This record gives sequence, C-alpha cells and structure tokens, in this order.
Amino acid sequence: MKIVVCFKVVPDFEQVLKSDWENFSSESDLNCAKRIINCFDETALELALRIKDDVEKDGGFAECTALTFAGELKNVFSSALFAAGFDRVELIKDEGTCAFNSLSAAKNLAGRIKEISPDLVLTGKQAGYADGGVVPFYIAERLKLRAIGEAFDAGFAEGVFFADIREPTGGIRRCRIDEPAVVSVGTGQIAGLRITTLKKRLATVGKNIDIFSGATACKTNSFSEIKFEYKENRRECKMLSEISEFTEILKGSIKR
Amino acid sequence: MNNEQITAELKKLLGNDRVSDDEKVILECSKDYIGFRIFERGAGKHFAPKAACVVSPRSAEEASAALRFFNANKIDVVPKTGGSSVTLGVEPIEGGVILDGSAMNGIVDFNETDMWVTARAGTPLEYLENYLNKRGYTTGHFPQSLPMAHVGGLLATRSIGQFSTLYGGIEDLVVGLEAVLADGEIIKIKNSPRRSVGPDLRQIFIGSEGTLGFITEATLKIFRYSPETRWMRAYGVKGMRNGLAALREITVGGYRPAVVRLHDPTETERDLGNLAPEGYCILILIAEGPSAVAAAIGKGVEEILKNYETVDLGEKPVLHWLEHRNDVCATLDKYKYYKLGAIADTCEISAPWSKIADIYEAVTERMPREVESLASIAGHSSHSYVQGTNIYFTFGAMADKDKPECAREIYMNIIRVIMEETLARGGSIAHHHGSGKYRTRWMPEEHGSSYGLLYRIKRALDPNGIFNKGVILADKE
Repeated sequence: MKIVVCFKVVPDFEQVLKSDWENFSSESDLNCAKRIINCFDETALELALRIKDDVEKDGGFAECTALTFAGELKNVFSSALFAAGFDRVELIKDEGTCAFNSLSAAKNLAGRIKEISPDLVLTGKQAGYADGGVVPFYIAERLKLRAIGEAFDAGFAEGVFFADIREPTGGIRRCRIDEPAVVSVGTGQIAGLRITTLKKRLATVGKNIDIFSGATACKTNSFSEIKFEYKENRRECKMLSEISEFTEILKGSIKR
Repeated sequence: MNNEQITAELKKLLGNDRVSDDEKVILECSKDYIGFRIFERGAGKHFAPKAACVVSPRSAEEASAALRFFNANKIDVVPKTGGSSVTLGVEPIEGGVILDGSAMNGIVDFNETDMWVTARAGTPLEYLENYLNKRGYTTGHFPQSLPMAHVGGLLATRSIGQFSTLYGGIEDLVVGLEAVLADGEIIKIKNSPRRSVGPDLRQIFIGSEGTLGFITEATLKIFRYSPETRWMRAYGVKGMRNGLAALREITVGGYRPAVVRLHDPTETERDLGNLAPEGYCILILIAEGPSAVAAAIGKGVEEILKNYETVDLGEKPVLHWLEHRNDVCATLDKYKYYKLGAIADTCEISAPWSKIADIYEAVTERMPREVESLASIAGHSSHSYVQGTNIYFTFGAMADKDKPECAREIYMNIIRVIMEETLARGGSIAHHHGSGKYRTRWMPEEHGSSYGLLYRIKRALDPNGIFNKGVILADKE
C-alpha cells in the first residue's frame, strides 16, 4: 500500500511580528518567524504514520511519502520526517512565484502523486496560507479521485482505510475508503507529528530528499488583496487590592 | 503536631483568612515548573509532597508571628512568592507549611532623587516594571519569568534578567532589604549607594533560596528608561566556538550591550526562522542608554564582528526576540510536550571563557550517547561578563505517557550529564535558576572547601533547620 501526505512548512503565525500582521501582503518578509509544518498537515502526517503502523501490525506493508511543493526544505524537517517513519521525502521545486497560487500548487502536487499512484492521499485542509482550503479538492479533481473533506481522524481497520468526518450539523460520520481517495484533514485530536529521538534522527544522515522540478510554472499569486485581523492578547498586570478597577477589568473580560 | 493541629493553631494566630488547607490551594502553591513535574501534571499526577496548609501573611509582623510558631514547634516551612521555580525550590516538605509572600504586595516608596524603588516581597515584577516605565524608569531586570515572578523570589533565587550585561543580576540591583529570620526577628538592611561597614549582609539573603530567612521587602535600583534610543542588530556567526570567542572580544573590549545572546546552530535552525546559513549561530545584540552611548557601542561591536565570520541579519530578528521572548510563560500549563510524549526543559551553567566552549561541546557530544530517549540538546549563551559567560542548555527527551513516574529518572539523567561535565571542566553548575532541591547533590563539589561555611551560617540563623530543607544544603544525616 502506498500513502502520500502533502505538507508545507510555513511561518509560525503566533511568532509573526504584530507590525507584520498589520501590514500583511504576499511580499511580507516573514523569515524571522519560526518555521513549522502547518498544523493540519502535521495531523495528516501523523495519521499516515499511524495507518502505516496499523497496516504493518496487520501483517501488511505500507510505504509513506511526504510530499511538499515550493520553497526549501531544511534538514531539521526532513530528518524529523525520515526518523518518524516516512520512507520518502520529496520536494517539488517551483519555477515562479507560486507560494500563494493554490491551483498551481495542486497541479504540481497532483502531477507527482499520479506518478506515485498511491492508495491514499492525505493533506492538511489548508496547504498554504491564503489558499482557502481548496488545494485538496483541486488535487482530487485533477486525479479524478474521490475527495473527503473535514476529516479529523483516519485509520486502517479490517483491511480498509477509513476517515472520520465532522458533519456541518455537528455529527460524526465514518467513511470507508475502499478505493484511492484524497482526504482533507482538518482540526484533529492529535497533538502533532510524533517526536523522535536524536539517535533516530542522526541515523537518517545520508537519507536525502528527492527533488523534482515543477511541471507547471506560475508567475502570479492567486489573490490580489489579503487582510488579516490581528487580535492582540491584551495583558494587564494589576493588584487585586485595586479592587474597583479589578472588578471593571473582570467585567470587560467576561464581555469579551 | 499533625496537619489539622498545625492549621488550627495558625488560624488562631493569624486569622482564618490567612491560612488555607484547601487541597486545590495547596496543590497550586506547591507547583514547580521543572520539566518532569510539568510532564507528571500533564498526566494528571501529583507526586510532589503535600503541605499541611498555606499561610499568607500580609505584613512582616504577621510573617514574624508565623515563623515564631514554626520555630517553636520545629515545623518545616517553604517560602514562596510568584512560584515560577523550575528547580523544586518551592515544593513543600510532607506535612510542612508553605509560607506564601504574595499577599504582601505593593510599592512602598519611589525615590527619583536617589534612584530607587522599594517594593514588598509579593509585588509582581511586571507590575513594578509597568509602574516605573510609565514614569520613565526601569528596573533593568527582565527574567523570562517576568510575567510570573515576584520581588521576593527574584532576590531569593539570585535571579538575572535578559538585559544583564548592562544592568547586572539582582545582586547588583538590590540597595537594601527587609527579612524575617527563623526565630521571628525582623531585620532591615538600610539603603545606601555603597558602604564599608563589614561584610555585605544583603548577600546572606540574596540567593539563599529561603534557607536563611524570609524576604519581606526590597529596595531596587532604577534607571532611566529609553527604549527609543536602542541600537539593535542580529548576526549569523559561524559555529558556537567562534561565536563565543566573538562574545569574549565584545565584553573584554569594554563594550556593554544590554543584551548579548548567542544561539547555537540547532536552536537557530529550530526556533529562529529561516535566517542564518546552515551551521551558523544567531547573535542578538541590544545596546541601550543615551543615544550616543548606544550608537557608539553598536559601532564598536560591528567592527569587532567583522573578524568572526559573520553575516549581518539586520534589526528584525531582534524585534522578533523582543516581542516573543517570554511567550513560554503562557504555555507552561498547557502540557504541549506531554501530549507529544516528551519532557522539555532548560538547565543553565556558567564558566570562564577558557572553559565554556569545552563544556558546551562535551555536553552536546556526550548527551546523545548516554541518554537513549534524548530528543534534542542545544544551547545558548545569554549573560556575558568580562571573565566568562553562561550556557543555557535546552533539551527534550521522550517519556512514556502511561508511566509519568519514570520521567524524573530520564530528566535527572540529563541533568547529571550537564552537572558532571560542568564540574569536570571547571564551570559552575547553576547560573541563575538556583540550586532548588534538584541540584543539591552536586553542591558539595561545586562549593568545595567553602561548603562547610554554608552549614555554619545555616546553624547560626536557623538552628532548628525549619527553612526550606533539602535546598542547597545536603542533609548530612
């Protein structure tokens, strides 16, 4: 069985400067912010490894590929992915300014996924910033595969994959996946990708990521204007003895 | 006396509202943020010893009355204020009492002529700093625990702030103080810019970690606050040993930037964005004071760094660090690492320039060999002096979420490696967190022939040994 997980390394938005939030554009320099695998993708990556574990416990064999598009992939991420259990880590290089172009991202990812021909594709529901959550569905469309949205869990039981989905009405539905499909993973119950020991990561030295050239170059971003709302976490340090003011602050907090 | 009797007697002595034996209050006041305790609490376990009650005096006189009672009845007492300890320094003794100074709060005196401020022990540092900033002043003291720390705890633990290269540690900032001794006597060490009247008695209490007295009030130096005149710059520096040599040249060269931080390549790659080339450290520098002084320091530092394989990264990484430097305080109780099955923490040591790089390399090379479940080991220097600097090791290790009681063993194994390598190579085993209970076993080797003097002072000031047992001083029995 083959599983592909699409992921993207993004700036940790909690680490972005207030001034960058306030003047955000596609040209913003966010290089100072800590880099993380975006949270939905991290859940998708961990789910893939759990499925792999379950398949192998069941006596089967599963090959997991972590696939990303555009930008660079630093060793800190590739070694973590190899050590966690991914068999292959792949990067599709972009030739243009495609970081914000969802359609181009989907085309490039789908091109490589088609070559791998997996049984299951997992992606975080939002593969990059400002893509509106459309990339998983664009990928499914291009590959003519079934798309499953808003999964919060996925697994392998009784010889088939499944995905648990949150219904808009609030209910939960389990989807049986008995033919190749693209699963868009939303907010899950998983804390993140498993942490591995340093020894395991050091043992990945020599394992290289595979780099592919993007088949579809793009020149423009898919949005012309984006505005983020910066919600400042206001913190006030007051003495309880300043009780009249404290009561007002408390009332204000309750209202908020 | 059993727990109920202790609580009842204290309520009679101080009033019901000053004493609590509520389990939730006791657990909250017993919290220590050492990595393995956070992991245990994540699993819903509380392995810390349980105190009989928490006593919260409102004044030095009430603290004195409580201590007379503890001393007469030989009841173990652990003083605390803000509770940001990461060393088991504020965990109670089973059946003892927690003496919580946080109800003694407020600014007593603000003196712009003599440039000092007097605050009670339970005054939050953040409150004090905001109060001073509004009036154009600062304490110059910014530990990472700033959102949690109180004045009393800063003194007791010999705290240091992120701007220490200019302002010094808390020991350089205390002008005078008030404390209550184990027998209830209230002593006051008067405020003076400097004096030559015998040994400096302030230093008996600064760093004593509540083993020699209960600090109730302190007078701290203040400085003019002018963040708008800061010079700020970040550099990529090739390799840690080379970076440490650059730090030495800056401080030995006579420059006193307020902030001098060198993060090793692992921390740089993991935590500090997409900035420096592979194998490079990040050096964060801030100089402050009058604009001409800050600019001159900047110019001098820039010249020095040309000789150390550096890449100029501009001002923005410094702004990032300033904005996010204390974020960790907000996540301590969210058990992020427990959920991933990991223990994470820091451990700080110091050493002369001639030894610090050797210690850093020895620890980072040995640790992966000896700690099977190690997930990461990295470090940074954040406080530099003419004679040397510190290394703040940051580490993580995997632990079994179903067996949180085993986390302590893994954790202490990591600490052991850091302590052993530091001592073997001539460093000091605690730079600013203090001993707490977890580093006590290495204190005899740290202090050498001077260790016995600590016992003599302890016997003189606390003959019944009621104050913070197990901290700094190993129990000889």
